[in-house]
Amino acid sequence: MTDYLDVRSVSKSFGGLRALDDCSFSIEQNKSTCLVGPNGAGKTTIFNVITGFVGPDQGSIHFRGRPLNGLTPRQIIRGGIARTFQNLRLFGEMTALENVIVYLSGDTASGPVAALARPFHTHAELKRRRERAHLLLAEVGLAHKAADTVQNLSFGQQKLLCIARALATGAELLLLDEPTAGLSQAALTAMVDMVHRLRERGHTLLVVEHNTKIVQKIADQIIFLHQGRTVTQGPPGTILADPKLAEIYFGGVLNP
Amino acid sequence: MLFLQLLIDGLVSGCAVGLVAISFSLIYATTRVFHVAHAGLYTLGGYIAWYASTQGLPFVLACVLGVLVTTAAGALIQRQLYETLERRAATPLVMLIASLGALAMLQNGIAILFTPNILQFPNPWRTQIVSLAGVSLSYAQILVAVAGVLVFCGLLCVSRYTQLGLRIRAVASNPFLAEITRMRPRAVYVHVMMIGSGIVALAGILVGLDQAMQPYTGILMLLTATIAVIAGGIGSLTGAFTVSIALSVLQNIALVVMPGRWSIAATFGLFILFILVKPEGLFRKR
Amino acid sequence: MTFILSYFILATIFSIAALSTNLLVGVIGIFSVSQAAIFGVGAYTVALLTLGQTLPFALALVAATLLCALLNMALALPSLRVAGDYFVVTSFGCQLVMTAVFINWATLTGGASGLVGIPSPSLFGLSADDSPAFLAVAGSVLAVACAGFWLLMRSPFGMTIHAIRLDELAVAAAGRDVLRCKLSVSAISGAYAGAAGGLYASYLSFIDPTSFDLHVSILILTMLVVGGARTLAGSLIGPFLLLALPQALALIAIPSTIAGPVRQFIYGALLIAFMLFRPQGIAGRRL
Repeated sequence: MTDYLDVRSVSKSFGGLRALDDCSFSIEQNKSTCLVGPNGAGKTTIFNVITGFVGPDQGSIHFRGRPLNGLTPRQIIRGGIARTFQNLRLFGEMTALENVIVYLSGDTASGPVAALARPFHTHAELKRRRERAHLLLAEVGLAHKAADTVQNLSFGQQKLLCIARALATGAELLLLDEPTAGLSQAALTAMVDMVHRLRERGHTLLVVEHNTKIVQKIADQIIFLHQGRTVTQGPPGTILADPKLAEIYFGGVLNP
Repeated sequence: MLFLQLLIDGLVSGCAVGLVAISFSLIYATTRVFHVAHAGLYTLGGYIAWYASTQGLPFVLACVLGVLVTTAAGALIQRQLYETLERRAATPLVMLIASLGALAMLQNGIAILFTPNILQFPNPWRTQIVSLAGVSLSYAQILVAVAGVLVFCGLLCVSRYTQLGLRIRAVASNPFLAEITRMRPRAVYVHVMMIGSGIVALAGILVGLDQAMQPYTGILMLLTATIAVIAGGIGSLTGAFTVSIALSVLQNIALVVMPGRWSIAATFGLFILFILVKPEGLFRKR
Repeated sequence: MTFILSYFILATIFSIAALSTNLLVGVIGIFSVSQAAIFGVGAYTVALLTLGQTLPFALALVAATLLCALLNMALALPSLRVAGDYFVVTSFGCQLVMTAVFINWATLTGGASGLVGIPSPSLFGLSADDSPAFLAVAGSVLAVACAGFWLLMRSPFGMTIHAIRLDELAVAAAGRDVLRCKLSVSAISGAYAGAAGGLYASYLSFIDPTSFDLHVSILILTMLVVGGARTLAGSLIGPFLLLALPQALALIAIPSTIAGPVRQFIYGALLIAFMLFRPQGIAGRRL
């Protein structure tokens, strides 16, 4: 089976700091893979490299067989990869609906010329986008919050909004950066359900996750990063029971 | 020996630009605020010293007074304006607009209190000339060069060898970390503003002595200085000072082929070329 | 009566300039002090094209609008490509260099003495020589400008540029071309400033470099800050209020030599005051 996303020997340094060191891993389509590892292991950096925000010093990334090196973030997103941010980066003053609309893919009437020269067409297009955005919010369970500004959403709702935005791009492969961090128990359950639903709809997920209980619930496969390289990858049962990894991660034993 | 004269003149005026550049660089690298009001403080220093001179104070004392008043003004702007805005999480745009407002108040306040027209220092050093090997320099020019080099070296020493310098560099490199490790970045910002304002006041005084005083020329000087800061690499004092001198020398030598009124256009053109080709600066610090 | 008309006409012209600044500074959040420079290019373009009877006013205005759109975009491009505060330097540089060009390229611009005898607009033989007619012309252009602004704000593009101000990186992560959006806004902003400048030249029939220097940029910026960003109302209130200021000041006996500096001092104070106490201006949204 050809690898869906293939990270090959990627290295990246920032000044003196070697964030990624000959990092390699691959993930399969329509599976949910968790990226685990201590802080500073390079998880967010690999996200930045995959999505084209940062160029690798060495190595390459292949998505569905095609190399991503040298592509702009815009091209990569249109190619089917979207990500969420650890610190959310929602548009604070805008409503949930507007946040999603900005992320909607599609070039019809998105430029200034259309806005000025074809106002009726643009108005119709905006209406269509509002509808699409509503549907996406409904998918993540936020339809009732569409008109609320981001500040009026709970933290759990804000995180779901991030997912809605990523879905809006139409991407197949979703990179989720710590989607459950800081969530209450109820919000956690909602997020885990969300992850399962995404996989059922045919998305492939690569999720940075620290919470081992969550990892067990959502991961088909785990990739363990440490100091910028892949220590190991495999099914959750094996990885989480390995005392050597527990040593690196916790200095103790992971409770399965 | 016109060429040599122009070269020497360029080296001298480069020292003045260099003072503006290193002081701006210090403030910008540490506080991240694009402090355009710096041009107003440059002007303020000159006028305070001028006023003191006309009231009979000897030049050195007038200088000291100018530097002190401007240092206080800089501290005031930092504490009352920038810090207040920063506490409210103001965007860089808001800070810039506020700084621009401060610039407008300073320049025009000076024009109202004194005069919008040109003033001269009541001091003959501008006209007293020293000639050496076919090149002539006024006392004022010698003072600019000496002060420029001394202050530059002094600032470099403070930055590298003193506790304050260390704190400044720490805050500059990671303000967030500095905050949580109790380095009190806000206090450092005030120190940095004071040092920077003092230096730029000196530049304003010496240039005023060497040429003339006018309330609105500060921004032109600051533009050249910020171009030098960027070209030299933000965060590098050596880069800022060196490129200031290089730019001034180039500007002066270009006078052979181009009228002086186009200097700023040529300098700016060079800047645009520069950011197209090597935007991160010639002397990378970070 | 002519005096009131004159005030209204100038306020109308500066409202168009304020809209220009509103788009760049208010909506997309790019600091600019070069609006007067572009305003000036518009003015000189219309002046030169109509003085030699080369083009009728309407076409000259269109030419000025297009030229300024392209110019603003070209000037913005190098520094927008690079992150950080480079744009601030570029903006100041633009303004100061343009002023130098207006003063020194005397064969084109008439130098420090400026250009005189710029004809009033005429259409199909009807001339807008008198103030009410010119107000109609300026008012029409303002109406078009307002309509354009309103349409932009209510479009998908408008939503995107609002988001760019809030978090540029997040907009890039949405797959949008942030640079292209900024350049588009630069172009439209330039077009507005150029149109305003063209009207200005035609109305006053005499222009010189002092009308387009840094002080005027600060004035226009103050209009935006006082009126308020990101709303139509803000771009109208600001100019009307600030152009009334000189009249209010005339009630106090200020020597003419420092009248200019006094006004500019007040603009500076207004900028600081509004940033500290009312960043949304009178009728706008928070900057």
